[in-house]
Amino acid sequence: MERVDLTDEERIARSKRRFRESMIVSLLVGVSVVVLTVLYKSAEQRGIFEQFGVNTAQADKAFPWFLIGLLGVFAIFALIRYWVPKAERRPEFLRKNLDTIHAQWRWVTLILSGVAVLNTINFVTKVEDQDTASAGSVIFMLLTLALLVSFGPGCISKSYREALNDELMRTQRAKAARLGYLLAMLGAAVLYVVNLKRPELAGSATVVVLCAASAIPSLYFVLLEWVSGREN
Amino acid sequence: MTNDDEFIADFRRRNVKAMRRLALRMLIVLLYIAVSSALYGYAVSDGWFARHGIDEGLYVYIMPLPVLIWVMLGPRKRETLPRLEALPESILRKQIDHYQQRWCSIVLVLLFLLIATTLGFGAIALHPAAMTDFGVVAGAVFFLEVFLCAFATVFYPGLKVFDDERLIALRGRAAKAGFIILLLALGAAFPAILRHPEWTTLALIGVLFAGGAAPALYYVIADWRAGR
Repeated sequence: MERVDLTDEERIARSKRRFRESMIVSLLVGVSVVVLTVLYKSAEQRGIFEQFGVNTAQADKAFPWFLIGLLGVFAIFALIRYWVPKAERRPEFLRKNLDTIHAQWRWVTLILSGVAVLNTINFVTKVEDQDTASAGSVIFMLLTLALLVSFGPGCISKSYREALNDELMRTQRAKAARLGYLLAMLGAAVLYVVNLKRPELAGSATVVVLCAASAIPSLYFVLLEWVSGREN
Repeated sequence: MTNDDEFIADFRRRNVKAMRRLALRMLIVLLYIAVSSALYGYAVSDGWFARHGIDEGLYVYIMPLPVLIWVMLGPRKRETLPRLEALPESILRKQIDHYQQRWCSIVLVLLFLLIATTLGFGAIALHPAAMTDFGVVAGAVFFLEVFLCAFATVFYPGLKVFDDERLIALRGRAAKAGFIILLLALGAAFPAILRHPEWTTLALIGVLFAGGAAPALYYVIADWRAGR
């Protein structure tokens, strides 16, 4: 139940606390996904599944869906636990807390870029085993990152769009989007040539192009923010 | 009329003349390409090249030669327009709207050309047997038009003299639209690339078309809505 008697300063302090907590929980979830994957692969190599009569091919298909389910459960938990109350989504309140919110979204962008790059490397290196689930998750993550770079939190909510929309922010997002657009166009042209010469590499090359066109503008945007002297 | 107005009226009159001349030359080039392509198609179907022992592929190298010679040795422009940067500030400000409208028309023409070329090149790519040297030329024209559209809309090269706040903002928005639509198109093409490799070429043509056309269309509509 939300307390209604909190002052704006208390709400800002609570928002900062919640953000730190959500980052730590996300990090733990990320580490646990990596640990689970390593454990799964090592169990597969040692033949533990066969000992318990589990079909390895079926387990291979089920495991990515298990991870997606796990992340889905975490997403629902995060939505409930860290849901921003209506009073803290008002543009008037958000404007008092601009620098902190910008800093938080910069961290989100950076972390998402890192995860997207790792996910892409993972997808590209397993050429023999590019299943639909992992391809879908990589593409979804990269497209989310592109949306985040272009529109920031404004792509999620109207009040964020109203509050976090100063001139500097718009210029920097446009610069990042322009770089992303150029990279994506050049990447698509290179992809066309790759498809003509080495069609078997087209799938991996598409993900690399998407990753470059999403992650590089994200880093460029964060760099622009840092150079322009945003606080935190 | 002030001196500035007279200067602008004269400048525009000469500009319109120059544009008409350019349009006429482009029309002649297009007619030449259309007629020579039709003759080529007729000659191929009739077996003319085979009868005379001439390699069909030579056509794509010989066809552009008259155009190149005409461009290099042909008539020079009769009236020399002053360089835009050299115009006085008072005149340049009055000209901005006029030039941005003109630029918008150029983008629109490029967009129509891109749609026509995409349909043609897509039809050629659909039948791998048709991908001869002529298909390669069509592909090169397609790529050229895609990147021309992209640069004319998002990067606006070499015309910084006309930049105003509104245009910079509009180009930023067009870049965002192009970026998101291009990535969405790549994401949508990915299943085809992964599961149906025979569709990959066609899917990538669609992706490149979306990447070139989306910001151009956005730019034209936004410019029109802004009431230029």
